[in-house]
Amino acid sequence: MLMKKNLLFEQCLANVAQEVREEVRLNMDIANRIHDLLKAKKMTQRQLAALMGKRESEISRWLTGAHGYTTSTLAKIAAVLGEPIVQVKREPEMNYVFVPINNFISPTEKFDMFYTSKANGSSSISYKN
Amino acid sequence: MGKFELFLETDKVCMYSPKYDGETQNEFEKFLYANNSHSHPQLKRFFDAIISVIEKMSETGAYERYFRPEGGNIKAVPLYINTTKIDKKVGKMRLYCLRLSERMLILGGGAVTTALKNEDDPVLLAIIGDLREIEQHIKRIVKQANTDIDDFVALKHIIETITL
Repeated sequence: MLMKKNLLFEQCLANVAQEVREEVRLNMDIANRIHDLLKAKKMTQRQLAALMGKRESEISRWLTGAHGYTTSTLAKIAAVLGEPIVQVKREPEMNYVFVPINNFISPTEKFDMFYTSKANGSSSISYKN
Repeated sequence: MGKFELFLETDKVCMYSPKYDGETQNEFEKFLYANNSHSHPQLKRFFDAIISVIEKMSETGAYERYFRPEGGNIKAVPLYINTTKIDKKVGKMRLYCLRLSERMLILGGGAVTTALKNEDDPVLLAIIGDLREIEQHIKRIVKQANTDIDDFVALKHIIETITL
């Protein structure tokens, strides 16, 4: 909760490029996530480094933002820690029901109507009266 | 002579900056004024990253783990952007701070440097020197007050009443 702010800082913040802001926030969120997972699993950075075949200094550079993560690195960390590091929002899968076309009855057949398509692109439905 | 000026306060962290007598801006504001209109994209990117990191810290607290372990409490504000392909001739931007605790951060000055090591830049060296003096001063006052740097309420009182 913001209790005091500086006007000049707020102006600078408003002019920050959105892509830089997103990069910073994402990298810090990832660093926090890895830190929380290490804590939950009672593991040290050194142990993580050993499991990944990296130097501890490299892990430290990732976690302090001095070195960017590749998707390959994130996948490896996730595999070693056994938990996802980042999650991509996916749309729910659509389930389609396929109906054989020979069983399909069009509304015009069902209700005794006639569908006429004209050469100029327009069409009309006529009813039997 | 001077005082600390509170410029940002949230329920997670208080950020102050030293303001010296006779000056209209505190050290962090001077940094903002000097660097908020760089036309070079690399420097604009550095500046934007520093601002974004401070914004994020205001939401989470100034965790020790955010900073590179460089020894002592004087830290460069981390960038959290990819800086592997920077033009070294254009330089990099650094902002220094004194991290007293997760909830208390003193922001000092900063500058653009082309020096290979930050310690080789006289401007940055002076900024670090100033913060180091401030740190020693705070430690003395905290000791005299028979309190602890992790006692947030006591430290806040000291920071807001101390004369630099």
